[in-house]
Amino acid sequence: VINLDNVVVRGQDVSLMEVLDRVLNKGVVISGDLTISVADVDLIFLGLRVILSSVETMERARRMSGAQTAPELV
Amino acid sequence: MPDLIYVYCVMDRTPVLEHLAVSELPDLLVHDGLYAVVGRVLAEDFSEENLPVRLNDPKWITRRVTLHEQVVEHAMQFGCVVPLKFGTVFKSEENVHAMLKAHAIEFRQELSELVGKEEWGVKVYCDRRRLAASVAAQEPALVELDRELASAPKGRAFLMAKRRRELSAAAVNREVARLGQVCFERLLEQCLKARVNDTLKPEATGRSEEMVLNGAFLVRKDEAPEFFRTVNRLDAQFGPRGLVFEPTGPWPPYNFCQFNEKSDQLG
Repeated sequence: VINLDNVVVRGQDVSLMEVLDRVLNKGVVISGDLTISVADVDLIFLGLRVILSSVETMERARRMSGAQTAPELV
Repeated sequence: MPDLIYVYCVMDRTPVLEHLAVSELPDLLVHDGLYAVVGRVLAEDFSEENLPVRLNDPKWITRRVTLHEQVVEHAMQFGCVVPLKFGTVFKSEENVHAMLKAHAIEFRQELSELVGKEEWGVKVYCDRRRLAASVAAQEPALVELDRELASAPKGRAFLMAKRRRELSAAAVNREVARLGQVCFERLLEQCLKARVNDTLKPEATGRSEEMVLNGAFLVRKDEAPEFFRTVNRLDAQFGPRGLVFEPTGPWPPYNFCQFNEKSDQLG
C-alpha cells in the first residue's frame, strides 16, 4: 500500500532519474547573462545510462539538521 | 578565471544556508525582500562554448543536477521557492539584483500562489505482459481467435498466431493509452494543477516496464493524504492488470512555476 509514510519523501532515497527528470528542463526560465539551451532530456538520459544503471539511488541529504554528509557522487 | 553566479531559486523568506552539507555552499543575494539563493560557478564550465561539452559529461551533470536539487530542497524548508531552470547564470551580483528587480512582481505573485501547496510526482509504469493477459480475456476478437486456434490445422494456425500477435499488440497499445488517461484524470480531480510530462524511455529509466504516465501534480498540503488515497485506489484497481505506481515528493514546484507561459497547464 502506498501512503505518505512509505512513499519516497524527504531524507530517503530517490532515484537519480527522478531528480534529473525534474531538474534538467523544468523551473522558471529567466534569461540569464548566458543563454543556455539544455538538450532534449531523453538524449541526456541516454548519455547517462551508464551511471543510471550503476547508481540506482543516491542519498538525498536534505533535512537541515539531519544532513551531515554530502551524497556520494560518482 | 572569474566566477559566474548561478541562481538556484528565489524566495521571500531567509533560508539558513550555513550548515547545508553540499559540495559548494550557496549564498544569498537580497533585493527588496526577495532572496536569490546563488552559488559561484566556474565561468569555464558554463560558458556557451564549454557547456555543451559539460552536458555530455555524466559525472559533471550528475554532480550539478544533484547540487541544484539539494540546494533548492534545503531552501524550501524555510518557505516557498521559485526554482529556476538548471543552468541560469549571471556575470555579476549586480545583474542578479537587476533580474530580481525586473521580475519582482512575477516572483512575488508565484510565491504567494504557492503558499500551502506542494508538488508531487506520479510515474506510472506498465508490465505489458501482464496487461496483455488481461486484455486477451476482454477483446472479443482475441477470444474468438484463441478459440479457432485451438482446432486450426497447422499451416493455418501459424498465420492465425501471427494475426493474434498483431491484434494483441494493438489492443495492448490502446489499453495502455486508455489506462494512462484514466489514471491522469483520476489524479487530476485531486489536485490544483497538473502537468503531463514526456514519458521516459526504458533506456533512461532502466526498467523493463514501459512508462505510461509521467505526471506532476500541485497539491494542497492538507489534501495530500487524499491524493495518496487516490493513488492507492488506482493501484488496487489497476495493479493486478500490470500497472505500477511510483509517487515521489514533495518536490520544489519545478513544474508549476512559469512566467508568462501558463497556457499549457491544466487544472
